Amino acid sequence: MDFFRAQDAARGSTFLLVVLFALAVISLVVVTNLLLMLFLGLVDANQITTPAGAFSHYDWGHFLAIGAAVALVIAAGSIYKLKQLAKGGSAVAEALGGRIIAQDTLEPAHRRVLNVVEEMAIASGTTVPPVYLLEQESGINAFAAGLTPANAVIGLTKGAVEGLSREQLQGVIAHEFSHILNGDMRLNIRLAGVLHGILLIGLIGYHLLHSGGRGGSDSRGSSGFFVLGLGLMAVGYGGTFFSNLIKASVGRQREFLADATAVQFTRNPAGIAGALKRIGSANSGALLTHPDAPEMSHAYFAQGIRARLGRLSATHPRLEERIRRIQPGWNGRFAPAPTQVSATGWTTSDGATSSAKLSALTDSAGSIPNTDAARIAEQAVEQIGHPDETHLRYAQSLIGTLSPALHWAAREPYGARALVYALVLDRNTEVRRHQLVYLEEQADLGVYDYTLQLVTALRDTRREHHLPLLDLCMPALRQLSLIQYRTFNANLDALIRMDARINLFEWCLSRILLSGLAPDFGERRSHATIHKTCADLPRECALIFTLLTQVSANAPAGSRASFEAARAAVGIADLEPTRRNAIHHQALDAALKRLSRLKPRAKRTFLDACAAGVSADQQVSPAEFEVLRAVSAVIDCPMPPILLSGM
Amino acid sequence: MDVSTIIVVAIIAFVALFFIAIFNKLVALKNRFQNAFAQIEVQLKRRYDLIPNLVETAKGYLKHERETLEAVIAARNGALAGLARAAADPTNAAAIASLGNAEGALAGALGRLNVVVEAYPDLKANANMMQLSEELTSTENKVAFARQSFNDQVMAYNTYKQSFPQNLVAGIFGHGTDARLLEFADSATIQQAPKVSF
Repeated sequence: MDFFRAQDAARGSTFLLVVLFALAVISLVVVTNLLLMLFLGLVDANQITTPAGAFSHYDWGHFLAIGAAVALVIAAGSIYKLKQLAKGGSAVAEALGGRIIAQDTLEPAHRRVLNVVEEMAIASGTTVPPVYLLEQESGINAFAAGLTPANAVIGLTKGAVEGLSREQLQGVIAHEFSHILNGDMRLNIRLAGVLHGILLIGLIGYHLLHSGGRGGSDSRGSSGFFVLGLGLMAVGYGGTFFSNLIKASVGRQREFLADATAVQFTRNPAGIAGALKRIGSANSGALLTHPDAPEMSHAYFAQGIRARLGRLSATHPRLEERIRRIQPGWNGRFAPAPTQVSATGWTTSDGATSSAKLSALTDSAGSIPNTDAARIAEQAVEQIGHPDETHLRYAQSLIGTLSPALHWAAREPYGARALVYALVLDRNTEVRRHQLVYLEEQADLGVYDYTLQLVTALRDTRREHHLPLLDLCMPALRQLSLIQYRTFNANLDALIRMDARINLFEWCLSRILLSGLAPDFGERRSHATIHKTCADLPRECALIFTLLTQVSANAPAGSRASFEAARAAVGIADLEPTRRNAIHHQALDAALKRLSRLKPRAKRTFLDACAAGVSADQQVSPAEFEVLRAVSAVIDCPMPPILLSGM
Repeated sequence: MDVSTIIVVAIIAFVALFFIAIFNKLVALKNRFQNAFAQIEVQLKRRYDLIPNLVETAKGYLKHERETLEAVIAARNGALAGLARAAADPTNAAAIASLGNAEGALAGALGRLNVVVEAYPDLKANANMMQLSEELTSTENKVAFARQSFNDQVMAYNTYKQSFPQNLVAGIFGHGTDARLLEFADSATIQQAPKVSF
C-alpha cells in the first residue's frame, strides 16, 4: 500500500473506532443503569427488595441522567488520557517502566540495538528514535509509540535485547518502523486514550469495593457500596471486553501489514520469522508483567497480555499464522536454541564494508544532467514510507563513513547541541562570523570550542550527510531538561535569524528538530489534518515553490520555468511567485506549519509538485534533493535517501 | 432517588479522576529524572575509564609520587562503586549523596595530581598525557551538562510534589521523600577541574 493511502486509511479507520466506541458507551450506560437501579432499590427501601421492586424505580428521566453521568465519566477519562499521551512517545515508554538507553553507551548488547535502530532510521529518512529498555520484562516483545515519525520512541524488553540475534532484532525493529511509517502509532495512541475512558468505570468500581469494605459502621450503606462497587466492576469487565474487541478488530490486520513491510525493508524473512519462533519457544513468550501493559497491548510486536477470550480478544494474530505468511514452507517447529550476544561486530554497522559499492548522489558527481532527473525526483516521492534493503545498505555504509567525531557528538546532549549549531552555520563568512560571536557569548562553557571543532569535521562531510546527522542528534536532544531545551531553542532561533537571506534547507532543519522535540517539552500542537487540498493553501505553496527555485536556478528565466512546472503539477491556476518582500521568517514558519496539516493525499500532490519544480530544468543537484527531503520531512513524510542505483 | 444522588456519584468519579491525575504526574516526573541519570552514568563511567590510563601514563614519570597516584586510583574506585549504587536507584537520596561525596574526593585527588604534574615538564608535554587530559576535560563538560539536566528534572519533581494539593497526598502515593540533587562535594574544586592542563 502506498504511504499516503496508508496514512489516509489509518485516519479513516477512526470511523470504525467511533462506531464501536458508541456501541460500547450505549451498552455501558444501559448496564450501569440497571445496576444503579438495583443499588438504589436496596438503599431507599431500607430492605432487600425483589428485582421487581428495583425496576419499579425505572424512570426515563433518571435513565437519561445516569446515562449522561456515565458518558461524562467516559469522556473525561478519555480526554484526560489523550492529553497525557499527547506528550509523545517518551511518556508512553516511561509509563510502561521503560529506562532509556543512553545513545553513547558502550554496553555491547545495548550498542547493538542502538546501531540497528540508527541504520533503520537513516534508511527510512526519519529521525532516530530513542530506545527504551523494559528492564523488568523477560518476555520477548517490543513497541513503538509517538505522535509523528519525528517524535517516535522504540521500546524493547530485556528479553528481546538479550535473547535475539542481530538479524532477528533487525526484523523486530523493522516491524516497529513500519508501524511508525504506516501511521499506526497515532491510531494506537488514540485507541489507548479512548479505551481508558471505558475502563475507568471498572476502575472506580474497584476502588469503591475496596473502600466500602473497610469503611462501615453503617452496615446497610456499606453493603450498598459493596454491591455498587461489585456492579461497577462487572460493568468494567464489560468495558474491557468491548475495548479488547475494538483493539482486536483494528489491530490484527495491521500486524500482518507491518510484518510484510518489515520483510520488504530488510529483505530477510529469516530475521523476523526467527524472532517470532524465539517467542514461540521462550518460557515467558512475549508476555509483559507491568500493570499498565494492557493499555498499550495493541501496540506490541507480539501478543503481550493473555487473551482471556481466546482469538476473539487477541490483539495479534497467532504466531504460527504470522510465521507461515513470512515463510510458507515452515516446518512448524519453534527455534529453541538461545542466541548469544556476541561482542564482535557491535562497534559500527556490520554491513558497512560490504556495501561500499552502493553509490548515492555525491557532490563530486555533480548534477544529473539528463531527462532521468524528473523520474528520479518523482521516484523519491513514491518511495516515501517504503524504504527497502538498498536503503538499509546505504544507511549502513553512510554511518560507516561518518567521521567518528561527528557521530559521537551526535550521541550525547552536550555534543548534539554543538553539532546542530555547526549544521546551521552559514556558508557566507560574514554571517558566520556574527553567528560565531553570538555563540561565544551565549552558549555554555566549552560549547563554542566544540562547535568550532565540529565545523572543521563538517567541512569534509558530504551535503547529503547533513540531514542524517541531524536525525542522529535527535534522541540525545530529547534528553535535555526543560530549561536546557529553552536555551537551546533560543540560541538556534537566533543563529538562524541572523541570516539576512532565508535558507530553506536550514529552516527545514530547525523545523524538523523543533517539531520532534516539542511534545517532549510540553508544547502541544494539534496534528489534525484539516486542509483537504493544496488549493486551500495557495500562498503557502507559492512561498515554498519560490524558495525551491532559488536553490537551483541561476537565471530568473530558469526560476520562472521551475515555478511554472511546480504550479502546473499542483494544479492551481492563478499562482504567482511570492514577491521578495513577502518572504520572511514568520511567513515561512507559518507556511511550513500549515502545510504539515494537509491531508496525506494532498501532501502527495504537494511533494510531487515540489519534485516537478526541482527537476524542471532537467538538472537535479544533490543540494536540491536534500531540500526536497527536508521539506518532505517537515510535513511528516519521511523520504528515504535518494540512491542512484535506482537508475 | 433524585438528581442529587447522581451528582454525588459524578463528583466521586471526578475526585477519583483528579487524584489519579496527580498520582500519574508524580510517577511521570519520577520516571523522567530517573531516566536523566542514564546520561550522567555513561559520562561518569567514561571518565572513570580514562583515569587508570592517565595514571598509567604518569607512573613512568612520577616515580616518587606513588601516594598521589594511589590516592587518585582509590578515589576513582570509590566513585565507581558510588556510581553503581546510584545508577541502580537514582531515587535513593543516600546513594546520590554518597556519589556526590565520592566525586568530590576524586576531584580533590585529581587536583593534587595536577599540582604534582606541574613540576614535570616532560610529562606535561607527553602526547598521550595531553590527549588524555583533553578527553578528561571534554568529559567534564559533558558530565556537568548531564548533571544540570538531571538536577533540573529532580527540581521539577520536588517542586511538584511540594505544591498544593499534591503535598497532601504525595506521601500516601509513595512519594514521601524528596529526590536528591546530585551535587559534587566541594564544588569549588570541581569548578577548576575542567581547566586542568597537565
